[in-house]
Amino acid sequence: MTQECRRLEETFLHAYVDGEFSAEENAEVKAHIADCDICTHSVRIHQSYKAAMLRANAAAPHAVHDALRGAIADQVAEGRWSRAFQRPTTIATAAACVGAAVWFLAGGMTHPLFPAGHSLADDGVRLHAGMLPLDFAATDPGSAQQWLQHKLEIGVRVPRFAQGARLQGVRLSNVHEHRGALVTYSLPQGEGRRVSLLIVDDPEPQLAGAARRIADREIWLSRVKGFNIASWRNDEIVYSLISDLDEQDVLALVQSAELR
Amino acid sequence: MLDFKHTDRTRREFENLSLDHLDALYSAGLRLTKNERDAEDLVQDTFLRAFRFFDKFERGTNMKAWLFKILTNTFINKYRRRVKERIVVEGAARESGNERFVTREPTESSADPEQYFFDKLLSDDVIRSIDQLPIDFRLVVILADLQEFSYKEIAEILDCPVGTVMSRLYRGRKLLQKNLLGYAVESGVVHGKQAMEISVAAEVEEEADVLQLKRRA
Repeated sequence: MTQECRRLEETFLHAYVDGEFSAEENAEVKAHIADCDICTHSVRIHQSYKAAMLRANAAAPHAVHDALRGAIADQVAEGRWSRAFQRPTTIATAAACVGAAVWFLAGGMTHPLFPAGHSLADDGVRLHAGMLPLDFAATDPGSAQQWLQHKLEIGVRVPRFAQGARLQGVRLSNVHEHRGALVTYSLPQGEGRRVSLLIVDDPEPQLAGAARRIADREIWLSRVKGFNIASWRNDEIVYSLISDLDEQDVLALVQSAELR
Repeated sequence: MLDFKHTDRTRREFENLSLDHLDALYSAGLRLTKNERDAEDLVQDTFLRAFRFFDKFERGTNMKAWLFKILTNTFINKYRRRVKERIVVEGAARESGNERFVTREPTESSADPEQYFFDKLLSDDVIRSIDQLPIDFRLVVILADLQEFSYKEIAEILDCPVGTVMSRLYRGRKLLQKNLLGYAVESGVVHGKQAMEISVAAEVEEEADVLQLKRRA
């Protein structure tokens, strides 16, 4: 019995446990091992080996998920530019833009609509993708709001979203010389997906993007590096919701926001 | 302008199909490169290549297998050189026909699934043992045991016959289990005496020698 079984283990039992056999073949092997302690034992051992191997799998850190989405978005953007520059009209337009830029720069940096440095959206995306540690972890918007108001000394509101985005916590993040904070929510889609709400004390006279009216609020929508950003203003404070959600999902989320 | 929309749609379709496999690719990348930085780079390279060649992907076929083919090719072409691994295929595990990972007789304790040797192992020991495998064995073991691909899928991913997959897998597993036993004794998960019981038919002298050494140590 043992010699035969030994051959069975080596050539068949692994393949059997690996799920390589058809239902019919499986039934045959099962019928054999039902009568054979040695083979039953081998099967169990191989099963426990496979389970141990599966336990050695690791999940990708959130930062890897985020960086990857960013990289794909960048590649899309790159493709757009290279395709655009194959057309003579775009080249002409681009040349005109360069000319205009030269003219603008020659006129000095005093233009009020163009503050030096990055835009708020750029900063927001950088903070969102950065996965920076939280200063204050909280699942309850009320306590996070209290903590932020105390730290920032401005009347910020930490919204609650009915759509399943759950508060994780907040981090103080000044954007240039403006006081601000980044509020992080996890999304029900799981796998580390989250949205960030950047709160900044009145940083810009004009919000970026296209304006839409949603739930009695003026919302500006824009897109930076593959992230959708919805911004609104409340009591001189600008709130920007940053995520990799589709525009529609972003709007639904904004609509579901409860500003307490 | 239409072009732009098309790219966004393509990107969404690609992300929908591919991002579910990110954890699997990262996990495999980690065991291939053995460090997080290279794994991250490898995975990102893989996804960007896949996106670039997404029009070559036959819709409705196995996306995970397609991504893993790109992952392994990218690894072999680029990272393997970086990691500077010696390629030891033949001869790394000498034919070890009767080496078996069973007790000679099923014992009472082994009737309880909780009592199996592999159930007690620390994941760190499993990881160390995988990392020790020569690359060709490591590849098939990762694909079969960490990612649960079928032999046929592995053959397609690695571009080799199914028979080669099976023999590499068999020998890779034996080699890995041998490493594992060593680590398990070292980290005290099993004792030398237990290990003697667990492991290995008596006719495998090489194995017995290893165990003797472990017991003396």
